[in-house]
Amino acid sequence: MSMFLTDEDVESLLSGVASVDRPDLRRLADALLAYEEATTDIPPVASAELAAFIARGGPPTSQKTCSRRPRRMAVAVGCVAALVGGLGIAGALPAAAQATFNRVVSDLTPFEVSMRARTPEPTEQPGQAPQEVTTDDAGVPADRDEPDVSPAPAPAHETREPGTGQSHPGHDVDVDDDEEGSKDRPSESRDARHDDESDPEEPDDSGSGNDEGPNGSASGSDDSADSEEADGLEEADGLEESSGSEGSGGSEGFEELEVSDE
Amino acid sequence: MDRDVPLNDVLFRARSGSPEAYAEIWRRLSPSVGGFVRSRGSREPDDLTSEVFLAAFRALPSFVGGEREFRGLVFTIAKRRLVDEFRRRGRRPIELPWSAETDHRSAISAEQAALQVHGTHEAAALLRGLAPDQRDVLELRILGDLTVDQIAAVLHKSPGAVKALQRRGLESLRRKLEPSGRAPIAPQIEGR
Repeated sequence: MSMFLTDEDVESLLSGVASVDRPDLRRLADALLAYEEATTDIPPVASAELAAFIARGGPPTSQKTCSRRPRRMAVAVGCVAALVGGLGIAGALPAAAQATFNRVVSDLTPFEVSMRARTPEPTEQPGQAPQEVTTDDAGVPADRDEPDVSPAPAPAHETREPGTGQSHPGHDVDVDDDEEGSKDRPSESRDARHDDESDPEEPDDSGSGNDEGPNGSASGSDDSADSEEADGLEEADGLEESSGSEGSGGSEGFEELEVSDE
Repeated sequence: MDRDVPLNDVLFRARSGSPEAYAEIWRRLSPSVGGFVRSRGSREPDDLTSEVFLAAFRALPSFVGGEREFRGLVFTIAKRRLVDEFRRRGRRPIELPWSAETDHRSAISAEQAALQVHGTHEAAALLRGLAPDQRDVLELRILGDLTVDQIAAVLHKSPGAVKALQRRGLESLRRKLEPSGRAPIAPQIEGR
C-alpha cells in the first residue's frame, strides 16, 4: 500500500470514491463527498432579472441601452441650442454670430429679438409713417394734395449712367409729369450744377471728358447723345439760374419748372 | 423538461430561445456555482450566482461547445465575478491557514473529526485551511466538475501546476484526517 497519491488516486478521490486497494483514502473520499453535498445543498435563488430572462427565453429587447446614446446626443444638442439662443437673445454673441442669429430669427419668426431691445427707436405713433415733411411756400405740407416733389434720396434706377457720374437732365425734365420722374429731379438738378461747374473747363462739343467717370471708364455715348446732353445741360443751367441760391435745393427750381410747363 | 436529457441538448434548445432549457441549465448548474461562490466568501452568493448565469446566458448565442465547455465558461465567469466583488469590497476574504494551535477542533481526535465531516460546517472547514490556490483547484474540481485543462484556463495556470496543486491539497486534507495527524513525507521530485 503506497503512502502517496498517484494520479489514479487523485481522480478517484475527486470523483467521490476511493479505490479498493487504498482503504486509507476512504475517509478522505467520504470527507470530499460530504463537502460537495454540503456545499451544493442550498440551491441559490434567482434574481428578478435572471428570472425574467429565463421566463422570456432570451435577452430582453432593451430600449434603455439602445436609446442611451441618441438621448445623450439630444440632450447635448438641446443644451447647446439653449445656450446659443440665450446668448443671442441677450446679445452676447460675437458680432458675426450675433448678426447671423438676428438674421435667422428675423427670417424664421415674425418678431425681432435683439436690435429693438438694444437700440430703442424713436417712438412712432401707430399709423403714422415716417416722412420728411416738405412744405410749400404757404407752409402747408406739400404731400397732402399734390404729388410729392420733395427731395428724396436718389433711387438706384436713376438715369445716371454707370461709370460716368453723369445723368441726362434734359430727358428727365421732359417726363416731369409722372410722379417718379419728379422724385428724380433734385439729383438731376444737382448733376446739372455739377455739369455747370465743369463747363468752363470742358467745352460742350467735346463731351469726352465728362464721359469718363471717376474710375476712368468710358461711357460709350455717341455724338447725337452728346448733343442732346449738351441741350439738357443748357436747360439745366437755365433752371439753376432761375432757382436762385444754390443752397435752396433743387425742389424750388422744379416747382418753377412745373409751373412753366403748365 | 426531462432531467435525463443531456446538457448538450439542453444547451442547444436554450440557444433557440427555450425558457424551459434556460431553467434546466439553471437548475443543474446553479447549486454548484452557488456553493462555489459561497465557499469562496461571497457575501451575496445568490445575487452573484444570478449575475454569473445572466452573463453566461447572454453569451450563449455566440457560445460554441458542449457541456464541458459551458461549465468552464460558467465557472470562469464566477471566478471573475468573485474577484470583482472582492475588489469592490476592498479586501480579500479572510483566509486563515489551518493550524492545530488555532483550531479548537484539534482537541477532537482525528477519528472523531472524520466522523463529523458529514456535517456541513465541518466539511466546509475541511477545505478552509488549505492554501487559496489549492482550494481553488479542489473546489473547481469537486463543485464545478471541471477538468484539469479547464481549471488551468480559469486560473491562468498550466495544467501541470493545477495537477500539483490538487495533489498537495489532497495530501494536506489526508494529513488532517490521519489518526496520528502525521502525514507521510512527500517524495522529492527531481529537478525541483
